[in-house]
Amino acid sequence: MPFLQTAKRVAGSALTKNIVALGFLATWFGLPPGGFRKEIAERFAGKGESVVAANLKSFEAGMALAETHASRARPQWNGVDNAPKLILTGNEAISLGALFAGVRFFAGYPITPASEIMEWMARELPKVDGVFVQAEDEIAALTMVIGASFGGAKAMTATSGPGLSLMTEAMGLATMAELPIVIVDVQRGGPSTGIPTKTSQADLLHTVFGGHGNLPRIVLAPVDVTDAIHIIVHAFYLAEKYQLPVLVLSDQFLGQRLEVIRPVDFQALGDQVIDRLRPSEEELVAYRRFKITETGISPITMPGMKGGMYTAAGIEHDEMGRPTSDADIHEKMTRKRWKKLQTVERQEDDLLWHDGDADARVGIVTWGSTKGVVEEAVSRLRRQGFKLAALVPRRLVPLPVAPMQAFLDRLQAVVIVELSTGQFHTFLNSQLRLPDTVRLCQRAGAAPFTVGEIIDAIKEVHTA
Amino acid sequence: MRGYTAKDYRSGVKPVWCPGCGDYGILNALYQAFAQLQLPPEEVAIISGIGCSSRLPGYVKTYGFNSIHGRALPVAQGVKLARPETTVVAVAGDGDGLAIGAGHFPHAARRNIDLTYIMLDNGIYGMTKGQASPTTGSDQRTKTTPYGIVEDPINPIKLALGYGVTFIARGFSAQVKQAVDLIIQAIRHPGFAFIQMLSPCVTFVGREQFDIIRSLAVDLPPDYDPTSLERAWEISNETGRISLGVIYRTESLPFDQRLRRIGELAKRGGNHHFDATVRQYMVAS
Repeated sequence: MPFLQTAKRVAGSALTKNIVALGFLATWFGLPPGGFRKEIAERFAGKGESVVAANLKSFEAGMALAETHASRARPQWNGVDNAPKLILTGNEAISLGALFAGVRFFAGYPITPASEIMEWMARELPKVDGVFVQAEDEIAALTMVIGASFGGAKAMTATSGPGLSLMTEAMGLATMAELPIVIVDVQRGGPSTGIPTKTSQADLLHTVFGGHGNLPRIVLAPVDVTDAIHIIVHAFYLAEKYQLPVLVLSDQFLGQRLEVIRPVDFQALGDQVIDRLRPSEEELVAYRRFKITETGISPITMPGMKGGMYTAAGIEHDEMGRPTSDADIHEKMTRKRWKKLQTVERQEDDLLWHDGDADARVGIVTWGSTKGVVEEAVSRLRRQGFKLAALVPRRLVPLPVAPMQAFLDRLQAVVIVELSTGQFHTFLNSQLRLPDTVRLCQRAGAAPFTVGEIIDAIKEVHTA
Repeated sequence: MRGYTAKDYRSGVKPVWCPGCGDYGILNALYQAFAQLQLPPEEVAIISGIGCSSRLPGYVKTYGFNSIHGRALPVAQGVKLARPETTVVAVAGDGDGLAIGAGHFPHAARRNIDLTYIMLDNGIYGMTKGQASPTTGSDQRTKTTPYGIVEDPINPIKLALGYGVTFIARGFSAQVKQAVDLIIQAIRHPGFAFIQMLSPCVTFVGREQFDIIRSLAVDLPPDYDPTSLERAWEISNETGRISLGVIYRTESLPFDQRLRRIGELAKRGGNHHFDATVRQYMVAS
């Protein structure tokens, strides 16, 4: 298309050629021009009326250009969706969702590709009397978060693989002291410095199994930008309710991409904004901070609460919080802490994402941001007559084993898709019985999967 | 209403410390300081790392946190920032605070966060049974320095001065009355207050550690001016004696007040309802 010539003709300069192209595309895609005109006027307002006029003229010329070439095949739309939309990245979605969930303390250390979450918090938290601290390292970041949680604040940090390595010791402290914390890991290529600006799903085993000792934790993984909001709200809900570390596994591909999404119904998410269980008057008499209960959850106090004094500790302790090295008490307290995960499995939404045919014999299992290409591949192949089903767990620990096993038991073959050298496959093998035929579709990362790669892998087992 | 006495801060948990350990003196000083300040136990949080000294929170009937090795300061800062009205005391050992957790010291100082940091310095790793620490003297034999020590010791007072700590004191566990006074002054100091508390380890250094410190210790003279940075550097450099007392103090805005100023700047933009935050991302057609 002669964008450059058109710009020169109507505006006297090549500068507006992009706006000519914008007008062309708007018409070609059948988008209402009103919003564009308004945006152009606002965008160039600071540069004077003549610049606004030149750009608007160029936009109209671009539209006319599309009309002249109307004979060319245009995309067909069933209807234009005029509903308002949000444009944001995964990192922004996580930040926004965390603010909604009530985060009031953030400590972090800059790291690509997670730093935008930290910068967002630096900007937004002071507006709501929250506290933002740029810590001296990731160890300080997480231990500050743990201290703030002990002080009663909803607290989080965000990092990437190398930072998570430094935080792993303190994760155990949060488990042992039974304090709610949320850690976001925006995964990047690794190990070590690796490829900080590119994506990967290779922190999986570190988050689900990493750490010394017996370390219960919850791990969640959003699949797209909209889901990032839901998952982070849910992460705070679970952390507050179960008083343990909750890890949210995002990645560079999700964290730094811009998506246009439908507005999120925050009101519907309101039920998940909860505060941790506080002791009753009776429970404060001879208060047992780590009381053994049916659910594993014990009422928690915080500084300032009369009668609720206790010592939180990384050292093993009895129900009162007194240090011990007694084997029986260690066994009981370890079971108490693990019981929380059983309660999660029993009581909470299993966060499974399903797609496809109920009677399919070939299934695809993936996790995290890879869901997008898998969904597209399944949709294309089903349109071609393939019977397929896809399953994406958004809660990896505790994994919803029963419904996932039921899904797998119906299959003859499964394709396991992941951007790592087999960590997800290893993890699934440790939790579930896989079908006889397992096709691994895996790469180390850096570039996200293409739909074609997934289609090829599925076709291999589907025709076999 | 009856006032608090030192007894009210005893948790009843029996310390694991050896008979004769210097840490008993500091623990008693803390009880007395809290009582003199009439601090409601629920308004105090004692935060520690790992080591003999770090078992201290369990022996005090206030809020406490016996965290992980080296991290007393960041945990304590998190608590203070979440609950500014709480009196926060961080307790660390010399290994805890000058080796594994040394990196947190300058940053707590530059934030001038309003908490009291007591370093119980025994010059040895006691909990792990006698390895050299960053303050182990150069002529000392320990389990990890069987032929003598290779490194020079760290001087915590010089570090604190270099880092710009706004309150610096040195006490000795055998001089409880003075320790009480130092703790009270540190808690009252609006900002980050550091006390090096010499606290001998009778088991892995030996009973003579008390005698050596006693023979070298002198109280700072009544006319000593702790606001003089020059004098403070002189004291930190002295050899052949150990001066006890408030070595340096200055004034600087504490962190919570700095944060309040940031909050005011952030709120100048107007509407901070959550809906307004969401609208930043909204596009209408």
